[in-house]
Amino acid sequence: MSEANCDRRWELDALREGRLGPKDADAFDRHARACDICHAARAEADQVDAWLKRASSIEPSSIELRRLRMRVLRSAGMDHVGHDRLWRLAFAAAALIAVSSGFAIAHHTRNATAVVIAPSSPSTSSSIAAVPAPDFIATVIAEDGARWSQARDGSVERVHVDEGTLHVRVRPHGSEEQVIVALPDCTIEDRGTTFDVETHGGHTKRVSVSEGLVVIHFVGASDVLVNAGATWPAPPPALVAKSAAAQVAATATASDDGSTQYGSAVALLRDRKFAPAAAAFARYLADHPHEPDAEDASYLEAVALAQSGDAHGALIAAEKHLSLYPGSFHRKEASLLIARIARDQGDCAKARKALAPWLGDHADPEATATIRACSDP
Amino acid sequence: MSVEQRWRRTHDRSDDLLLAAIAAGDLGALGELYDRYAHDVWRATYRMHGNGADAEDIVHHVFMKLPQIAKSYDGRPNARPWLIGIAARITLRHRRSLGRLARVITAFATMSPTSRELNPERETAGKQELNAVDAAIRALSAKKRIVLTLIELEGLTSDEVARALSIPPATVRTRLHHARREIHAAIEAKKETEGA
Repeated sequence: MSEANCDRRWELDALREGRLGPKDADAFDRHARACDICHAARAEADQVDAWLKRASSIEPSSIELRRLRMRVLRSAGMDHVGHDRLWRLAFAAAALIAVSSGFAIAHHTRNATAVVIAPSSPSTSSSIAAVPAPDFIATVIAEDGARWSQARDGSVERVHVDEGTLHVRVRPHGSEEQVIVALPDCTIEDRGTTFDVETHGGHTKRVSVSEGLVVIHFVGASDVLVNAGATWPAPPPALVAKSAAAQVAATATASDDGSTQYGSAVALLRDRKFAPAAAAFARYLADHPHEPDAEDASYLEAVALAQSGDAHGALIAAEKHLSLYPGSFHRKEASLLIARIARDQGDCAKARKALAPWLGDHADPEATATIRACSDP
Repeated sequence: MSVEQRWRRTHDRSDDLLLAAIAAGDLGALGELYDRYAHDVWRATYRMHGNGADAEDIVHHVFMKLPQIAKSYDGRPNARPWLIGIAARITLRHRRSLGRLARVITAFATMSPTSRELNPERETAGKQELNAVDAAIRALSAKKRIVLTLIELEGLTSDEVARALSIPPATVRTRLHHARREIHAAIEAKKETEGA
């Protein structure tokens, strides 16, 4: 019997996937004992299965996954922020038109209703109060003793915190809606997130972001972006300078691992503020040379310098990156950067040397194109 | 128990609800879904692609793009096959230029922070696994390797793989059959060579 003419062979896969019922499985078992083709196919599948199990022990490290998690949320958050800004602009324009035509926007303020939830653990001394979610975008869990209120005015929902610690989670909402947490000395604008706020004696003591990102607006100072996993200890308002560089400098104290600082540097780069971004990456590298993001920061510093027009600085930064991280995932890009700068400076020998690993028998097209434009003899 | 722990305890959501929340821009839900499945997606991608750095890029891409594609989720309570399927499709389409993929898909273009190489410990561990079976798996075409990985190693059904890859279930089973055949033949041939 050839394989083609055993019309029950398909049952093997169904059996292995558990798609056959007990009766059908028994029937196929009996058949496979008598059918050479199905018997051989089954033995082969079992053998391959056993081999595959021996070859399948690679797992990601937990630190790698944690690092990747931050990257994912940071990237997704940035997409979200960009989208959100467009909606906010559109909404502002629509509101302006409505106001100018004499349309009165209904003003509706609601007082929060507090529901007391019993502590989930006897060892937990504090009870928690939660606002029912349906009418509000933000759900608030407050520690005992917290003084706060929640109100909605049109599309803007405000959580006023006078004193104490709150855990705030913002449920999915339309882009035209906005949640603002107002503290005595600043406001926090949600960007789709979960975070804790703590305020005492009229000063914000802590903003800790678990998911997403928030923007803190200090009165008379520049905005501060706090990413997932980062904590913002309240700086004296006077220390929060207006310049972007000072913002990054202040951010340096915001979290032990520098994730906020790194996020701010990336944000500057994304906003095409290349020179401040390069300075921010340099500062991050000086403060956190051993953090996982340091490798990316080192490369991004070179990119930011190149984009800012500082070719010499970019060249040095790219060479430093390759010397610090010879196995870098960005080694090809860093080498291309070096080669392009060297080529533009007329140093084709240096350009070729930088791209040597990619110019062998199986030359990389990008490397080849870079060198092709080289005009030395 | 912290406020956060209490929160999590009372707000566990099913995968379909998480994806609905992600579609509406809830980054907290994205974090939750990542915690549930990033490990599985990474492992499946590594097996399909055989490269840790690219696996990281693909996992990053899959989860980063969820806010945009979550609306297309069909509502099944378990999103694992769907997520692994997305990773499989990316692996198929971009297996030759994953380094560039990370740059293309983000607003940074060439400035995108991407991943590192395998760490030395894992590199060593990986090398220990480079036996005849690995060589045979790597020798398979990408289409066959992906089907084999998803079914034999990740435990997806042929119907789930068919849905994930948008191909008929019969095609999945045919590819699986040929993949097994080729691996079996390659290893038997190696044994014979070593025995000769």
